[in-house]
Amino acid sequence: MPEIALHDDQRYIEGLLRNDDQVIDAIYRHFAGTIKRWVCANSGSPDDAADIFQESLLAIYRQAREKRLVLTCPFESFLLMVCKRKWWNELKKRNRKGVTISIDSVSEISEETNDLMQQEERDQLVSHFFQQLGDRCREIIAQTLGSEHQEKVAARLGVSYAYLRKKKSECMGKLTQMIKKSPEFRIMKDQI
Amino acid sequence: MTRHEDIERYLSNAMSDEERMAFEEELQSDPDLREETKLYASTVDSLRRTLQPDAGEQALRDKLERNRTYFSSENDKKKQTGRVVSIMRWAAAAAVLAAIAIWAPWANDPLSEYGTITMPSLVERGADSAGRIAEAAKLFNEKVYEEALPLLDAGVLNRPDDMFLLFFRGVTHLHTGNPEKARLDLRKVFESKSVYRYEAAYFIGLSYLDENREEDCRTWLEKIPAETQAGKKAEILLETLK
Repeated sequence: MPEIALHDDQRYIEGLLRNDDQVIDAIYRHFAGTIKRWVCANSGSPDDAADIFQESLLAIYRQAREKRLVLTCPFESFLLMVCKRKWWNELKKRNRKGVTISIDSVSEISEETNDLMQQEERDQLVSHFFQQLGDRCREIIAQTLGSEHQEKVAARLGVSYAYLRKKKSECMGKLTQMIKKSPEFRIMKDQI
Repeated sequence: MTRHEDIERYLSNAMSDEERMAFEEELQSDPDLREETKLYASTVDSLRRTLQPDAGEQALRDKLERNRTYFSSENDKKKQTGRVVSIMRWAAAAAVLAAIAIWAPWANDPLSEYGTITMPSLVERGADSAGRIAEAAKLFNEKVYEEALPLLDAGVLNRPDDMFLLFFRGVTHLHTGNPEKARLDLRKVFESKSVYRYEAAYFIGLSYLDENREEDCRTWLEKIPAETQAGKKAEILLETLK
């Protein structure tokens, strides 16, 4: 199988993964201005632009860490696409009627941007419903997410392993039912 | 046994070989069960990503936060007075510490260096109390602690047993110069079975370190099991105390 040629700008992705000061500084120096101008031209403030820029870089970092993100286009184009999509979602959340972003601005989405955004949106949906569970359910689920063996978690919580597993599955069941009833589930379903 | 319990046992490898084979056969023939199992598994993956950000992500977030100045302009500075004042206050504190605390192995003030944590913003904005908590999370994550505090106070008043709110109010007290109040909240969290109990112990330790009470700091950090997320942070801090 032919290898995909790495774009020179892959160094930005690697720099983010290494938490490299110089690379991060270069990303802000080279690209912050473009994003700031674009967000400000589309109903946002410089502060909004800073938030979107930061959250987009973190999303790229997560994608690179989990799925070995390989750039096939310049980093600037990729970052701009992620920022545009995030800003578009933010405007939808704020319910800013009358605000227009040209469709072209958000439809020029590459495959890697699409993967990244779908995961982000799926995570947000799950988080949204997770927060609606009761305290005990949230704690039980959160406690059992780590690598610690569940028998140890049960001992720490002072319950039996069988009880913990039963409670966890009940709580997870509640969560998946809430997700399934949501209008967004249809979109999410296509992605899992 | 419910279907969800079966799914949980299947995904966590708790089934016997026989049970597993039978379940897999059912998965082949039952599309609803297949869909539910996929959803269950992908939901767990999402929760892992959102509830357990790794230390690398937290460190990157802190670094990105420090680069926000690239977006500043004169107008923005006016709007962000709260944040600017807060940063200046900590910068001044760090400078004083650096000047007088030659004994300390860290160059900046320990709260700035080791006291950052992200408040999960897991709810949509709205006019209800959930909206207020989302706003508090936003302000907290922007380090505008003075403005996050009244929102967290209101949240705790409504739900005094919510350990999530108590924990983040405790950390907010710490960042607004009230270590005593911080410890009151954080002790309650530590004594509960909350997911934040060891994070609470970590921040209690940090509050003592901020007051140069190294022994008290060490006592609290040593309460944290090494395998927890808080334990990893505590280990780094304990190293600096040696």
